Amino acid sequence: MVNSTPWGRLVIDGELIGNTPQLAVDLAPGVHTIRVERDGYEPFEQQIRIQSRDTVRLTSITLGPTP
Amino acid sequence: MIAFRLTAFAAAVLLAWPGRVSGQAGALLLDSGIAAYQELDLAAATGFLQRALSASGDAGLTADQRASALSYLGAAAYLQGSADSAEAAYRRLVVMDPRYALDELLFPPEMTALFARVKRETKVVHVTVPPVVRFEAGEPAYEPHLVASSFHRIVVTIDARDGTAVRRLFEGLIGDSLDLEWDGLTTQGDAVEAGRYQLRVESQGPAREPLRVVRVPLDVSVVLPDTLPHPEPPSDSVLLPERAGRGPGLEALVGGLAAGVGIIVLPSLVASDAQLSGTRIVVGSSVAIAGVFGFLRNRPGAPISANVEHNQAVRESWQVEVDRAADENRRRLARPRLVVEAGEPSTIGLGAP
Repeated sequence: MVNSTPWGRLVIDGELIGNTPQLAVDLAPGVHTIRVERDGYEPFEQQIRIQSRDTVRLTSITLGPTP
Repeated sequence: MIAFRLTAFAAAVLLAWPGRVSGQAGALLLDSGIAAYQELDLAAATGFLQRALSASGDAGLTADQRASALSYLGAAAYLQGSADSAEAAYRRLVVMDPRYALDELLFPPEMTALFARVKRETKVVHVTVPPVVRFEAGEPAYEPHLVASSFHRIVVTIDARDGTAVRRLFEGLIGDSLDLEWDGLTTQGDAVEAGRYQLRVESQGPAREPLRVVRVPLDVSVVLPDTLPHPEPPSDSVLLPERAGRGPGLEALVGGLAAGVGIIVLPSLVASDAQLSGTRIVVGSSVAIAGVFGFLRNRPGAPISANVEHNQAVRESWQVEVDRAADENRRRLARPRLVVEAGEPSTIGLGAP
């Protein structure tokens, strides 16, 4: 589950998933790069490690405006 | 996450508390609903937001808070895959505020696009009227302001209590907004009587079928105007005597006769040798005749034409003032002052989306 304020484009491992919020994105176990981007805002990027049947919440992402 | 749990806990405690909920309850539920939405706990968000919207009285939400609650409720429904519920929430939002626009910073384009479609399809008008207006009937001083959700056909009437249209104010297409005027008159051009009326705005579909009606109760009271007093008729001091009195005629007669007799007789009385001459008789007679003429000219009851004309002018001038006052009073009585007090508008859906 990924949410951000303001909404942004969710890109996982370089693949565009869609706009936030995203409720369910199936990922294989392993390390993944989560990126939320939006024009005029600093992107958010984080690497996460997930195991089988893990549910990961990234819902407190706040994008700051580009200086 | 911690903030969400704290607000959710506070909301849960508040709602579990027996008795009256405080004036903050609606706002707290709204905060909890938004926090739950941001955490993507959508079931909890929906519950909090629905309860916030149903809070009433002191605990109720303000208009801005209701709009915010409906925005998030629609978004939560959308994310849960319930397009119908999302549309229903957005429709409630459009009916409440036809000008509302979702925050494009907070909600992604797929949600704002859905909201825009609902807004386009929801034909509704928001009516704003001043709470109290005082004006003279006939003066276009009552000014309802209409705002539409989208381009559509409307019919605006002032209806009597029994629903009959007293006056049709507008029939046609509304785009964004429309300013109307009402002069307090009926279709026949008469001032409305005191009583309860309603401003009725009917939104229509393409086949002119009624979709939604907004009603604003109007309480009309009539204040009869002050009328002008008629001017007093001209007093005797202003009018001049129109007929001669006894005085001047008699004075001329007596004076003339006395002078005539004096001219003829007086010399014989004061001088014994004075002879009665023909000349004195002619002069004395002339003076006496002049006195008679003077009497006849100013005999009692003879009309004095100059005074008659003067008095006639005074009376005509007074009559003009009387007619003017009567006209002004008729005009004032036909155009009484109206006091129109508006109640709370209500919107009724007629099976339309």
